Amino acid sequence: MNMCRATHVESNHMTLAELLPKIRSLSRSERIEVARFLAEELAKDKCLAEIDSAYVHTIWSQYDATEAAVILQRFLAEQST
Amino acid sequence: MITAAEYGYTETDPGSQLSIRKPLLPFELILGDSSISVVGLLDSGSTVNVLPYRIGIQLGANWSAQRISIPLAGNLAAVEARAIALQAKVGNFPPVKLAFAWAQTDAAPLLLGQINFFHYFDVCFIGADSKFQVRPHVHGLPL
Repeated sequence: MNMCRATHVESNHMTLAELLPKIRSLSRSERIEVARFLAEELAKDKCLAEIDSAYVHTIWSQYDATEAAVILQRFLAEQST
Repeated sequence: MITAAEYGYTETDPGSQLSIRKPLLPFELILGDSSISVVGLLDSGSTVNVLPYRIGIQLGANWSAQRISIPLAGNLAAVEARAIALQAKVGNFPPVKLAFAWAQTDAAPLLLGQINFFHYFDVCFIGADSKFQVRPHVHGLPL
């Protein structure tokens, strides 16, 4: 029996129908955080371990963030004047 | 001659199969009269320094007062960030002014990247011995 997927929300908790509008009302960055949270929760399940590499690994490094570098350099130059 | 400060790699999750050693540099961040001890990931592949939101707040920085927006990349692309300059003291070396992309999230670690940590400091990674050395760059920007 496949136990990987939750198919309902217990009645003493907020229902999915109640939850979705609240999620929609979040900002874009908050919704991304929700998506990341869900992906990490799902990947903890051994049945879904294979999706781990696709959804869980986050890369914070600012590789080739050229515009950010240019602005920060200009900011530093203004700081020193 | 300036003697380099040496640090050991940090094992972030000891005992776990996924445990990875990271070059995490302990140093001090200073803003006005406030200072806190922090740990930054030496990320030579990162174009810029990144400061988590909570650290700026702990230092007493005012988010609204920072007017320059910084567009970040990757997982931080959706996160608002603003430029902020802080004094940083590494080991016994003189403090330097570091510019950060102050991100409005606590999910990311404090990153020390090319702009401008690696302009001030030379870093030697000796991964096989789980250690790294840091010293001010003598021909870099003025200290």
